[in-house]
Amino acid sequence: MKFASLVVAKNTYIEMIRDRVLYFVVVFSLLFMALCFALGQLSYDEIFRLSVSLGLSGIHLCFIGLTIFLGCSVFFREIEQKTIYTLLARPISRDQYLTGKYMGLVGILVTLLFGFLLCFTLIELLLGMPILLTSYYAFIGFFFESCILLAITFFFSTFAKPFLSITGSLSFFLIGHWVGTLDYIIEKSEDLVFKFFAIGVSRVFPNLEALNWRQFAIAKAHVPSYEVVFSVTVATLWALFFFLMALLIFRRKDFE
Amino acid sequence: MILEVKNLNKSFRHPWKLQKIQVLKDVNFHVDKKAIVGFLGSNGAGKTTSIKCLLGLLTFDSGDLKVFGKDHLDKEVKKNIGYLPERPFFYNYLTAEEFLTFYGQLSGLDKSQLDKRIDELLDVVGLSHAKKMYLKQFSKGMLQRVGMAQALIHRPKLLILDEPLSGLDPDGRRQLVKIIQNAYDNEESSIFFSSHLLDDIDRLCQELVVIKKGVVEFCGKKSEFVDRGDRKFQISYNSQGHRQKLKVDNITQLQKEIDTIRKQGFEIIGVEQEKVSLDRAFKEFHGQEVEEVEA
Repeated sequence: MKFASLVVAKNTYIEMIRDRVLYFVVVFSLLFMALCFALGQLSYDEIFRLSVSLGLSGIHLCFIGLTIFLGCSVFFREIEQKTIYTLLARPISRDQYLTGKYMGLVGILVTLLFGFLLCFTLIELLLGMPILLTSYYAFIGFFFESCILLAITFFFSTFAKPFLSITGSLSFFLIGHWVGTLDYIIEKSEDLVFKFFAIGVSRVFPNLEALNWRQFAIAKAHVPSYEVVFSVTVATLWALFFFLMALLIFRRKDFE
Repeated sequence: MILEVKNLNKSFRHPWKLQKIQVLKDVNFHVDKKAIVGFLGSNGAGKTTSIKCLLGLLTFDSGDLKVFGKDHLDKEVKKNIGYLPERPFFYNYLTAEEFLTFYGQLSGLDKSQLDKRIDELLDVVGLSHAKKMYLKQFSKGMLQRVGMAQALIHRPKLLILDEPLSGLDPDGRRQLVKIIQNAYDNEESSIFFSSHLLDDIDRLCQELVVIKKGVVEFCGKKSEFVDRGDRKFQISYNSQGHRQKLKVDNITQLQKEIDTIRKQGFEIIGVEQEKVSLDRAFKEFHGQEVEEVEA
């Protein structure tokens, strides 16, 4: 079937957007975000800086948590409930199936991101803070970071159980935000063995810190357009790389 | 021939040891056009593994699988296969209508064809009232029936059902048997279904494939399977106004006893061959002890 991926994507979106577990996680995330803003309000000075910084950090953590949760649970559920059997018995290739699942979840992430963006704006309005375009660059970064992490969770989920998939994806998230610092340490280090391994790590893991534009929101500055284009391109390539790796494994996967 | 499986071999690697465990050994069977074929075997005999190989859910070591004369993974072939796995749980947050639309679209049906077909199928499986209900509100029996509807949505020429009746109460089983029979009668589908519930296979199938420990031990007509081996006979005769019955073990002994009765001048009323149920034939086949039940 020509548009099988789109049919799978639509179904994934509908099924996920109605899931009560998702709403539970979203409500928890919103409370966490509100708490972050409230903490910023406790400051005597620089209320805007702290509120935006903590609020965006809260959104970032929640959004990444949601991405990993969605990516890991969607596969596990399909296999546990055997729905994947009836789907792959249809005239649809495994590539189309996986692409459809990915597209459907990206759709969910876009919806959630708009929800978070709306809440962020409302809270800013409620707190009497200025609404600045510079605050929204961070959301672009969040989206592309979550696209990479979603592809990573797909990659792990094709061969591992949910616990291992979550652990693996979280490791990529943590190391990915540490790669920038690692590059700096590599530059300063004179230990050749350390340099060898550290360079290996910094090339294997995507540099997620390159998509962290929260500091621009805090500084009320625009992100240079070349940086946006470059980071987004690199992020897309990383997402594509992990997605293709997932496809390669998924094509040969046995459903025992 | 609709389905042909030749020399299918499948082994799984032991999770900790290096050796492989062979679960299918040179499996051979076929399904003819317009037939209901029962795939019979105990738990772990290799029924589900064979079906999964057939549907491309499992890779296999060697063998040749042909459906409608083509490779089993051909997209045109898959367009004509309907499949229901064992004890399925479908998407909780889709309504029955959305669920069937989804599967219909994946099989290449367009919206106008689907609307009519969904109403028709929901009526057949007795779920017209549940069209707008979420699947999470469905009972096990209802899920099995909507599962049958998804397998039939595209009018498949071959319907593969894996233990469709397991886990259902007697009423649920009766309903599903009726739906399977209806699919055979009205949808022009050949049906291949695995089960270890002998009563249902006995009720539905004309042909059998019997698998034991990964080896197909029988493939043919159900009557041939049931009549395998020596069957006992019962002679009824009149002896001085009294009706007598005599049981003999085989056909040679039968001829001998008939001659003896006639020589004694008694009148033979009838000779009956022992009727054996599929259950008993299956037990005998597996070398299990069979309890003698007086008719």
